[in-house]
Amino acid sequence: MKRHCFTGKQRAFLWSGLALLALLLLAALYLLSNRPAFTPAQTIREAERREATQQTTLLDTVSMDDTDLFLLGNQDVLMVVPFPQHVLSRLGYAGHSLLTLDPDQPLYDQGQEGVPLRCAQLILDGEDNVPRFQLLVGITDQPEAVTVTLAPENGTLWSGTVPLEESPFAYRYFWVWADLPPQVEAETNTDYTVTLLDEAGQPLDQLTGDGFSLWGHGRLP
Amino acid sequence: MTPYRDYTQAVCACLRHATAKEKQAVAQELQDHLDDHAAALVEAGWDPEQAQAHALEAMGEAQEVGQALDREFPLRWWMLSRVAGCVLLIALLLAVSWLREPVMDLYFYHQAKQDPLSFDWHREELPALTPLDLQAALPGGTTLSVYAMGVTENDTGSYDAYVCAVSYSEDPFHFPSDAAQYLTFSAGGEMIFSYSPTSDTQGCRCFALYRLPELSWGVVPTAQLARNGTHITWEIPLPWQEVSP
Repeated sequence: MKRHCFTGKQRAFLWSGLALLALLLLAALYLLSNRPAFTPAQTIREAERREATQQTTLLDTVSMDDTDLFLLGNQDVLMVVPFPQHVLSRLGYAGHSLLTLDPDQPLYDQGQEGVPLRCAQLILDGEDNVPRFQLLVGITDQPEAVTVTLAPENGTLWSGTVPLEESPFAYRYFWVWADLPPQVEAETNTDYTVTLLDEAGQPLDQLTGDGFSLWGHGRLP
Repeated sequence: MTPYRDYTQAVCACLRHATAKEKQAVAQELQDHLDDHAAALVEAGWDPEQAQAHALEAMGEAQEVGQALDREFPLRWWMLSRVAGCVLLIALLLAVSWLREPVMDLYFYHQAKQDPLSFDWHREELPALTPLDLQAALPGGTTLSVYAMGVTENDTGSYDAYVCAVSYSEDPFHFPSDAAQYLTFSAGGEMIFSYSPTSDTQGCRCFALYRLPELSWGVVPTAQLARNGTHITWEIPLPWQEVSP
């Protein structure tokens, strides 16, 4: 039987083609298993899906280290979703919500259920597992409230008054993120008291740390 | 022994960057070509020995043919073949090990959707579970299902109920929503205290097992999901016939 002999060039192309196909198979398997979110839209849709909530609207964006934080909202929730700025970091990131504030979530201190304010706090750890940032988010449907005062129980933490922002939904919101002082340890009390103020600066209602809907630690991707 | 062995060996000796297999293939191709030529001459009335000699002469000097063929097997192509071969091998090995995850994803999806009762909770105190088919579609393509329940008498003379739930994504390769872990229970308008559910999240699904302790015989609890804008309420018809009052 006669047989055809490949030249070195033909053989090199054949092997390279097979290697390329194998690499494509590998890439497909990786994408299938990890579902990385390469664009903000993919990240947001994936976070909505995992939280099983309706489509959200982008309300605000900030950058923290090498990560963008998107504040997203719909009529039901307020979400904070991180998005890595470096393309390579996105390869291992599938999109999720760091914090989802759901007004229907029961409070730890049920005595504060009547306060027309829902708040959540997240401490973000750095790569060394040391708390680096804090994130405070809140929503209210109190029509007269214009600003909120954030007063920490621990005097070394950030404090101040921030305006309530309008949203396309039936609530107004605030969100604050601040660096934590370096001496803050994981066990430091980072509770806040949040006070709703009217236009004249008079307090309307108040929520203490026990009345927060959510409190936790997280990490940036 | 073939009549052209010395010639083909001389030619192949000039191929510096061809593998043994490639040299063998070149030798075979030369051999076939010489055989064909000689056979054609014999058919034309030539003496076989003269035909072979003429075929060899027509092919040209072994050294020249070898050098010409050697140019067809340059070092860069040899190197590229080897590198590509190594890449192919590594990629295939990785692909085989990575293939496990999507295959398991498909299995987890099938289990959550078609056969949730096959999930083993590894809990000895779990009573015999009665199937239940309460399902709801959540936003984003997640399905929440309460698929089994059971009742058992406890040491204090009251009853503990177990309720099994699973939430899974409609896409087997997506991460799941953990909605199954956020059910609350009530009976007669009163909240039923339940421990944090035991949960197991893998692939596109999240299983959760709730224990509702200290129930009175005959109670029909209600399961609620009130989370991120979704509000679902189901009655759980516990199988009280399984335990005597």
